[in-house]
Amino acid sequence: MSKVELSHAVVLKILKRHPEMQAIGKNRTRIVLVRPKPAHRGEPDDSQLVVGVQDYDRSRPLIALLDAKARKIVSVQPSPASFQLSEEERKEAESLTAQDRRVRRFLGRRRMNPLTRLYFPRASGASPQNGRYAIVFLRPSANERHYAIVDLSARKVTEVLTRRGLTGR
Amino acid sequence: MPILKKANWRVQYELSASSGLRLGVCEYRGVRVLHNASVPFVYVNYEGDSSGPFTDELKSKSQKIQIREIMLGFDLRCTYDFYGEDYQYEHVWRFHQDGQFGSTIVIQGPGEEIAGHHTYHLPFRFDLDISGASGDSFQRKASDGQWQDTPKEGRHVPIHAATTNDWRVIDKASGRSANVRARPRDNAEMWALKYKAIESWGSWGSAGPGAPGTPNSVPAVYDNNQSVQNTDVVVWYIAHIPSVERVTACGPWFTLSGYPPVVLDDEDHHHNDNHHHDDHDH
Repeated sequence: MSKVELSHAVVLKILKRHPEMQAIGKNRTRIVLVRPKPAHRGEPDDSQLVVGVQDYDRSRPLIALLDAKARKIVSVQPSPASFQLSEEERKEAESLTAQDRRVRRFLGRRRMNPLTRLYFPRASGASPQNGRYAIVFLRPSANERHYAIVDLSARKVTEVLTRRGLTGR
Repeated sequence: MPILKKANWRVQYELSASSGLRLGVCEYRGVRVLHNASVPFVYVNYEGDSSGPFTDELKSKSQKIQIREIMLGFDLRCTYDFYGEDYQYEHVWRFHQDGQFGSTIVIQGPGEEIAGHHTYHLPFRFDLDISGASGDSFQRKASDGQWQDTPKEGRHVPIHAATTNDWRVIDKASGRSANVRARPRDNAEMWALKYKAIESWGSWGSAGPGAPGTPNSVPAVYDNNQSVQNTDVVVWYIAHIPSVERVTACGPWFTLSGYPPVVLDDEDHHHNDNHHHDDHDH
């Protein structure tokens, strides 16, 4: 496990120096994961971090290996799977939800009491829908529920589902 | 990572940010068994795809790992309560002094509906390390009861009775193996992969739009038809649990073969234990 810790700002600065990341240009990106690289047999691992980056404009996750001691990127490649939501994304999804007219109408003066998770919209046709989405569970009371689907790329609430809409029952 | 020495085991463990109680290097009687293991996330979908699926991260508000002494072994236990009472999971890693071990998740639910129309899909990832040096091979037990090499990466389903091991990872040089048994009601599938760095990094919770085990999700996205013979083998056991089985447990069970002889010691905890706490806070 990495023994060196870096702030997100420093990680971002290092990432931006890498040609692959520079090629992304002005795309909206965000660091969504920074974890110590899991140790593996015979590999140097005490100073490396795994960094997950979401490129919202191209709807693709990237994964970088960063040498925290040398402060340089070892590799950057597309990730074949999506990362879990970062805390920043969770807060953004909840903030967008709180502003939605349909949500405000449902909640009235009650607290949102949100729970937010990574969401995958239903496939359209044969292929899964692109994008990065969150689902915000609205829980103003023990039994009442609505669910806001938030497109984090477009920064908007795309749907507000009832319990029946979510569960089909 | 904290280390626990108990019941012939030496176990590294930690509570991670979002993929629960993970294990690091584990040894049985001084010989390597696991390099690491975890349950990266839980995937939930609804019957008829009435809406899209979502994932639960395995996070604990209390950050408490309980170490429990049990008959002939010990448990590491954690409650994942980040999402509140309706979406709780319990995780038990159990180790016995004869080399048996397992990872069990208890799904408390009920989730968003109580008519049994959603399904929990739980991937359990084990980076086994029987040879200690990339010399492991994946085998499945054929219908005639003989172990057969599985040449390439891929998916397998159990074909034997509940009490039989369906798969094993073996170091042919030493004859040591970790044998895996599926839990009867898990609707389980097993994936054998060659270790890849990106797959290992995915253990921090990377997920795909499909349920684990389907072509556009983990671990299938890491399968590029490589050999799983005489190499670093990683296995993913996936349990598919319908919510109608409410408050249910899932997860695989392992036994070891060819490891140093068992020393059964009923009073193991009196002298082979450097952790006497019931709870371990992080």
